Amino acid sequence: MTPFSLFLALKYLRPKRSFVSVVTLISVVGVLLGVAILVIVLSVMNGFDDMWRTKILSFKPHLIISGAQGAVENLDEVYAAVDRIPGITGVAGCIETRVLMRGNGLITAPVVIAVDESRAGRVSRIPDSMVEGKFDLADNGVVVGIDLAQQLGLHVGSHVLVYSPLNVVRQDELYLPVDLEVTGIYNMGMRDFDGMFILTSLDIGRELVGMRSGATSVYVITKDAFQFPGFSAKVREALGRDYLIRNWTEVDSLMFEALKTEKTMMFLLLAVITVVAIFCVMNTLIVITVQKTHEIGLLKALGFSPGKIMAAFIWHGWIQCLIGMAAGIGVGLLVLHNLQNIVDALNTMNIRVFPKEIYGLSEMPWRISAREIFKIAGFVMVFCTAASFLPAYRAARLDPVEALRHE
Amino acid sequence: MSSLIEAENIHKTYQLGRHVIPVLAGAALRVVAGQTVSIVGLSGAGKSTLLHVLGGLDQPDQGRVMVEDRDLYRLSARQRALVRALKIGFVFQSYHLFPEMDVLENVMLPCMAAPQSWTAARQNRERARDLLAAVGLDGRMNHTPLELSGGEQQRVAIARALMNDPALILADEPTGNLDDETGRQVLDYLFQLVRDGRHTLIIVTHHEKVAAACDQCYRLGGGKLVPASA
Repeated sequence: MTPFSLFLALKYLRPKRSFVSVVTLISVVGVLLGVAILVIVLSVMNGFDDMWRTKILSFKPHLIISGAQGAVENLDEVYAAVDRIPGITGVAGCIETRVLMRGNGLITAPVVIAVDESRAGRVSRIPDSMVEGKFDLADNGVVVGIDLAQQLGLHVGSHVLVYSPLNVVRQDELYLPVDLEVTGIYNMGMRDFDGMFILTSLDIGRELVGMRSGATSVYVITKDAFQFPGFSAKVREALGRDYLIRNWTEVDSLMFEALKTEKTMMFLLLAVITVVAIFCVMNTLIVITVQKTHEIGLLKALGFSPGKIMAAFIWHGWIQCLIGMAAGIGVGLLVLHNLQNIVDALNTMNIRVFPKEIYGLSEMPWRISAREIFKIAGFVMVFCTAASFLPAYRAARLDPVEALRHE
Repeated sequence: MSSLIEAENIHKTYQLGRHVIPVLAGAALRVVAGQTVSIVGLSGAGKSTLLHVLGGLDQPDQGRVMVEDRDLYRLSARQRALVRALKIGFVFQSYHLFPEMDVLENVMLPCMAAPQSWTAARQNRERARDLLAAVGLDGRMNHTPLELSGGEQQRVAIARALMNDPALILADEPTGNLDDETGRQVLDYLFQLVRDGRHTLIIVTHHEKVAAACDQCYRLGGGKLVPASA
């Protein structure tokens, strides 16, 4: 049995002789658009968020161990202690420093990652991303990113000169450049990684930074990057207080914070559009309460309590918002599932919304989050209830005699 | 004999801008169950206002209205609404039907004012059908009010007023918008209801013949009710 308030609200949605249904339809479309935009934008931002995470995790370690006093001298002890921890899939000593590099008469300043070559394959996916040559760091070998190779015109077999940063730090000593041979070129599909990094052996790295042994840090890969708090704790327990352990979110914390802030701002800005749409629902309800003044008076004469009359108009607002919200989520999902077709169609009209050369991706990424959909739904319903309350309260407070006289 | 409704010393004024207009000034009325009572008077004399006061819709400035020994205006708004729903049936001159609902739904409206079970809802639907059959509209249940003539709409309004089987029917010029023949049929039906012994009728009318046919006839003038014969 339908409660009277809901029954009346449904009747008012299908008026027999007035234009209110058109006004209602406009309100519903307003909510639909607001919700659809929220769903689409937040899902695309989720996609980009995931993309960055995947890219970062495919290039960077999940944990970085460094000595509390600086370098990690006793690498074998660290390997032995960390290798024993279940779930740790790779451990390798590394030296990371910025250098000057000259190749084909051109100069650039990449970051060199000098890695223990016997363990490199277990802490990086670069060996799986070679597009030319092979991942070989032995005998002064160096592996460079595809963008850097293009920038300097490098190929497998090309030679580059790498200048130590110590030339700048220690000006009383002269450090000769190291001659390295390009053995491979990788493509990670991300401009920052493909244009700013070179990989070489740990011995070359030590020579560049003036170390006799050890490494500046130890890279650790786990079987699940998102379980980093647990693995951090286990590594800390295994190594003691002489080491500092940072996880991948701390290393790139600024970027992840920026992504989070950007997403929050987008939600707030787009939520304003939805709130404006919900105000249309309030307008519609005000129009309906004015139009139905006579009938509200009659309901009071028939013995309907103010609460029932109020509930009928709040139901009316809810129904509009529920329909708009459900349709908005549906339209949002439909657009997302056809997002690439839409982007391609816009491209054919010379409207470039997702240039491949900027994002390095062939398709626009997106991911639907059920939690965010529920958040949007909750947000819409809270504002809808607030927007419906005022006209509903006004209807419930109408003087029945005045209402019956209303023409 | 105890009264069904009793109004004592009813005063009511309206504020129109800076002007205070007295409408009722000490009106009093006592109606025993099973009676027909008519109220006549000039236009603007306050007949509809009095009916609204008697029906618990318009609080008087002074005086009290007792329905079955309960002071209507001492009840909470919710309790008063319940008394209106269960004890009083209104019939208006301009029918006041819901155009969005069909005839059957319009008749069933009063019983929706209080919560009802599935069983009660089914029984109410049956009762609404019986009432519509009694007013000769059993073939028009699924029509909307806009598809009915004025006389048919008023008969729907009467069926709606009877839905909760109220003790008191307040009719405000129920034949005002109807032709003579249709008006006579509507009045015959209302009087028949009282004769059947379950209802009491207070009717506001302009028709002297209708007024004369009632058990008691009052004239409203100067804000007071006086027996029409006086």
